[in-house]
Amino acid sequence: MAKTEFLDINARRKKVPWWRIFRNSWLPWYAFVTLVTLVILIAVSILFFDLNPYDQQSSEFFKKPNITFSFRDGIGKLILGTDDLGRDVYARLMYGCKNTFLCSFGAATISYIIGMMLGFITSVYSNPVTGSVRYFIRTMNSYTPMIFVFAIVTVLGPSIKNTLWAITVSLVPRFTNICYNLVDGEKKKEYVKAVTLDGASPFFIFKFSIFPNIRDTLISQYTKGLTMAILDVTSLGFLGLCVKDPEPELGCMIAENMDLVYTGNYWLIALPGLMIVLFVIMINIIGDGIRTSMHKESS
Amino acid sequence: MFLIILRKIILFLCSVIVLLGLTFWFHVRVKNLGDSNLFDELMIYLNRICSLDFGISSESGHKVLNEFIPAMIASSELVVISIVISAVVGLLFGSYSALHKDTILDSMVTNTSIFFSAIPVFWLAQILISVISVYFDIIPSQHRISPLYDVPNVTGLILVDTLLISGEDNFSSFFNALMHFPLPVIALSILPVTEFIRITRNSLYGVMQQNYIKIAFSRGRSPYFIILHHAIRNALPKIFQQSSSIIFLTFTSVIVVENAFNWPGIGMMIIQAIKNNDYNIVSIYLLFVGILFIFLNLMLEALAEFFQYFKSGGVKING
Repeated sequence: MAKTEFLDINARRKKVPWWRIFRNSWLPWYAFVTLVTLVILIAVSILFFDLNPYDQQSSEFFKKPNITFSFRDGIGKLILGTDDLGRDVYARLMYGCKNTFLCSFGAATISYIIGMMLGFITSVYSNPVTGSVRYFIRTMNSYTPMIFVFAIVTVLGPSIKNTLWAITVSLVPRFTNICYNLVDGEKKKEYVKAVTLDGASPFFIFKFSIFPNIRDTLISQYTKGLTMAILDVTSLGFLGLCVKDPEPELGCMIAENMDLVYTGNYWLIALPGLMIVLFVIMINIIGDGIRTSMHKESS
Repeated sequence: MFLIILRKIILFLCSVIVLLGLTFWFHVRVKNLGDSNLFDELMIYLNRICSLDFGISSESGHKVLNEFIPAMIASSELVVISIVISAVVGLLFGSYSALHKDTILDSMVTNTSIFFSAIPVFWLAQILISVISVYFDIIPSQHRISPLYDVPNVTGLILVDTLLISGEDNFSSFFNALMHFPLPVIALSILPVTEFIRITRNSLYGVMQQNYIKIAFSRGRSPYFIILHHAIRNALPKIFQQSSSIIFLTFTSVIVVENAFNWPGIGMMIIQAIKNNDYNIVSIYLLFVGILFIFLNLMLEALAEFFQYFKSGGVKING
């Protein structure tokens, strides 16, 4: 049976690249398209529509959202209603999304790069210095991130930059731990030992033996870290520790409008929460889809 | 075996020293040193810590320890109930979806857990309040008990104190306190349930692929007996290791949930302290909660390693 499979032309399939598998799996691809559409909508709203999230119009309080477009003032104004001070909810939503997601994206990316580098260095070079660094980071990983975040924000005061640094610092131990475990698990395998005995340089070992086997986990951990960063930024915004008052931010908007829901203005907290949930779910699905398609490519 | 315990104790002491250094730095930041140098300040601070005098809160004027301990007890009541409920529910659903992997019910459970893990805790709390408590008017949502009841502060746990009220024939205060529990517990325990489902599913599925399970099936044992007697006992150590992160996650969420439900615990205390720049409370929070976290983490790691040690007949496993 094996011999005829070897000789059969149809049985020897060409290797399908992982982005092709990703494009053919329906749920991650649709999530990716939806996410890109939302990001483009936010970017176009901020750059091209003239929306003003700070403008308080005293004539129109608590207008409910009406989806029928009215172009009398400009494209996109007052589609989603106004809040208690007359500010445009659509404008505050778009600017709030920009603040939250840029902050969390920056925090996740910076902490990912630093964490991965630390993980690689402590795993590849094992001497007492890196060993103690590894011990220290493993202890820090056992804390929940919020303790560091509170300590830093208490000392430095609430602002967006301080939140970014606080969340970066709190996510670094997690990435370092993950990267160390991955590379450590790969170092002990036989193919790495075989390549070492053949006389390969550390860079060769890393690029051709270790890295292709941990690629999928690395990318899925990045997306999980990104969702954790988004939820942390919004939690800090909810507690009032993120931005100053007139600046819009999704967690802050939910905290301010909490009391207004009791008199029937449901859209004031439903819309920011919906944006958070949509973004987090879609990023989760995309990360899972990338990991599955990379796994299917290599097997 | 002895080395395991020694490593854990040394790690614990190092972490306590680092935490004390952090709180001392807070203390020095606020106080102007004047003539004394840093070393004398350190000795004075350590003396005060040894006599359990953590300072006076700048906002209320009372001792910090007298404010911290009742708040900690009130929070821990909520956290313990929520973790127990989420562990039970998570284990049930997780084992069900592990045993029927790749069927429709399994994908329903996992997709629902992915959806629920994406909802921010404060938004869920707010929706629960406004839908169940305001619109449908079923269960109360704010504080621990209705203000009509006057409950003495004997232990600090509201459920125990309402049972200890003397001269009450009806348990109306107890039932009232009990009705204030479901909403915060649901809001707190959604995230741990999803984590428990994921962990149990992976762990139990890995155990069921082992050879001894297949042999037990071939000998004609009933599936329930095999799962209860062999599979879950071997899946538990891995679950224990990862449950420490779930407990810490609950301690984080309790801060936000207490803010939303006005529950008088450490969550409310720490947020008001940060807003009022009350450094004494923040430093005692960091110290105690940090020590608690390290202690729990080390205990759970030690438990998992003891499982391994006794399973292999007393020989130390390398690694």
